[in-house]
Amino acid sequence: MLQVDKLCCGYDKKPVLEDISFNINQGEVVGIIGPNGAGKTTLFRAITKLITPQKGEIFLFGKNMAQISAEELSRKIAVVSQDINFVFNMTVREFVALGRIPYQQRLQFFESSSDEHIIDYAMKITDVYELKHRDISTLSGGERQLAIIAKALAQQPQLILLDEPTVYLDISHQVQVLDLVRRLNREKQLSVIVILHELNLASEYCDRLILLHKRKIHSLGAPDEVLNYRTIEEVYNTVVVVQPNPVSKKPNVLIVPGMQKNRRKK
Amino acid sequence: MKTKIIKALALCFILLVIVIMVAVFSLSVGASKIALKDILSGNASPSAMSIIYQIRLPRIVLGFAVGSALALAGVILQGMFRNPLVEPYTLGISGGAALGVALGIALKLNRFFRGSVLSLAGFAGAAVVVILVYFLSRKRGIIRMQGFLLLGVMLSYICASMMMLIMALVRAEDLQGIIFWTMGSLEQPNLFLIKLMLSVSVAGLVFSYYFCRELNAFSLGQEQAQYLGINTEKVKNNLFFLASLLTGMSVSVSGIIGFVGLVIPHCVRFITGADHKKLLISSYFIGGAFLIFCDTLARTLITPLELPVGVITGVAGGCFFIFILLKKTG
Repeated sequence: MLQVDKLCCGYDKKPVLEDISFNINQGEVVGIIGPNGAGKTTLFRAITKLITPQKGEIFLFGKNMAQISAEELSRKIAVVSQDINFVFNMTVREFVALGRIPYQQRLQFFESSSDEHIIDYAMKITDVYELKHRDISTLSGGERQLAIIAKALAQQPQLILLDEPTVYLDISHQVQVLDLVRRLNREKQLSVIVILHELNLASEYCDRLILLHKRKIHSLGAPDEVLNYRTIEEVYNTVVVVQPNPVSKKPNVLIVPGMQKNRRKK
Repeated sequence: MKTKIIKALALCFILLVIVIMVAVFSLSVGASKIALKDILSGNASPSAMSIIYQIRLPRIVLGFAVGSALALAGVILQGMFRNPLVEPYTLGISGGAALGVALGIALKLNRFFRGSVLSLAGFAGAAVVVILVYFLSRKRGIIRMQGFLLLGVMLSYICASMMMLIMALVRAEDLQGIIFWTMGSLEQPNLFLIKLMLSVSVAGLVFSYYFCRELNAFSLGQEQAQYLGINTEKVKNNLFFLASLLTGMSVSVSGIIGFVGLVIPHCVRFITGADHKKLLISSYFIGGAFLIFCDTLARTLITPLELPVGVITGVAGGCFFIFILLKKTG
C-alpha cells in the first residue's frame, strides 16, 4: 500500500535521510527504530507530506504522493503524536471529534449521524468512552494516549503512523496501548508504522523492523533478522545480549551496564 | 439532529435576548431620564426621541459592532496562535493606529480636511503595521508564528515610542486630542462610519465561520492541523488579515478599547467549550453586549462627566475574569 522509493529528504537542503526505499503491505505492522537523530520522525513527516522530498518518490496505493491532496491524505493516513500540547480546555469527546474534520464540509454546523457513530465507536474501542466528558488535560498519560489513538481512528485511516506511542508510559500502559494497536491491525486490517525506542516492544509487536542509522536504512526485515547483538553494537555503540523471549520466542535485547563503547573515539 | 438544531437556535435566542436587554437598558439610562415605557410606546417627548435616535442608539450600535469585532478578532488570534494571552492589540495594530492618529493630529489633518480624517489616519497606521508584521515574519513563504508575535510586540513598542516623541513635540491642545483618542470612545458623529463598522463586524462573523473547522484543527497545533488535511499557510494568511481588518476598523472608529478581545473569548470559552462553532457566535454577541454595557456605565457613573470606556472595560472585564478563574479553579 505504501511504497517509498529512493527517498532523500531533510530540512534547509541538508539531507536527514538518503536513499530510503521500502514497502509497507496492507495489514502489516512495521516498526521504525534507530538512535536519536536517525531521522525517524523526519520519515513520518515525508510520508505525511509535511516536508517535500528532495529526491525520490512516495506512492500510496500506487498513486504518487505529490498528486494526493492534503485532505485526501488525511482520510487515508492518521498520525498519533506524543507531543500534543493542550492549551485550551477540551473534553475527550470534543478532541476525538476533531478526527472527523477531513470529512466535514465548510459551514457544516452539525455533526452528521455517521460522524457521531464513528466518534462513539472510536472512543468505545479505545476504552475512553466513559471518559468522554472529562477534560483531556486531566487524563493520565495512558488514558490520554488512548484518546489520541481514538482521534486517529475517527479519521478512518487505512494507515496509522504512531510516533513513540509508549513514551512516558508505565509498563502496563505500554502493553495496553500496543495490544490495542495490534488488535486494530488484526481486526480492521489497519496498516501500522510505529516509531519505537524500546527495542523489545518493537520486537514483540512488529512484523518487520526498519533500522535507521546515519541517514540510511541499516537493516530491514523480521525482528530476528534485525535485532542481533552485532547490529545493535554497531548502530547504538552499546554492548548487549540478545536472547529469545521464553514465551513469544521473539528476540529480546538485554543491556549490560558499563559496557557502552566510547562515543568520542568514533 | 433535531435536538442539535433546537439547542443551536436556543443558544442564538439567548444571545440575542442578552444583547437586546443590554441595549434597551442602555437606551433608557443617561444624563436625561427617559422612562423605558415611553421609549417602547413611542410616547416620549420629541427632544427625548432625538436623544434616543441621534445620540444613544448610534452609540449602542457602534458599541455592539466594535465589541463584537474585537471579541471575534480575539477568538481568531487566540485560536490561531494557540496562546490565551494573545489579543487583537498584541500584533501592534493598535500601536500603528495610535501612531497614525497622533501623526494626523500633529500634522493638523483634522483642521485641513473635514470628515473622519483621523479615523482614516488610524486605519492607515494599522494597515502599515499589519503589512510590516506580515512581510517581516515570512520566510520562504511560511509565516513563523513565534516570530510573528514577537515582531508585533516590538512594532508596538516602536509605535509607542514614536507616539511619545510626537506627544512631547506637539502643543497642549493637540496633546489632549491624542490622549483622548487613545483612551477610546464610542462617541462617533459619522453615521457612515458606524454603518461601515457594523457591516465589517457582521461580515467578520460570516467569514470566520467559513474557517471554523480550521480554527478547531489549529487548537491542537499547526502540525496536527496539517495531519487533518488543513492548508495551514493559506488559513494563517486569511485569518490574520481578517483579524487585522476587524481590529484596524475598530481602533480607527473608536480608539483603543482594551480588554474586550482578551477577556471575552476566555470567559465564553469557559461556558461554551473549545468548539469554535459555539465560541465564535457566543463571543460575537457577548462581546457586543459587554461593550454596550461598559459604555453605558462610562457615560452614567459620574454624570454629567463621562469616563473613558477603556477604563470600564479594563476594570469590569478584569474583575469578572478573576471571578470566573477563581470559581473554575475552586
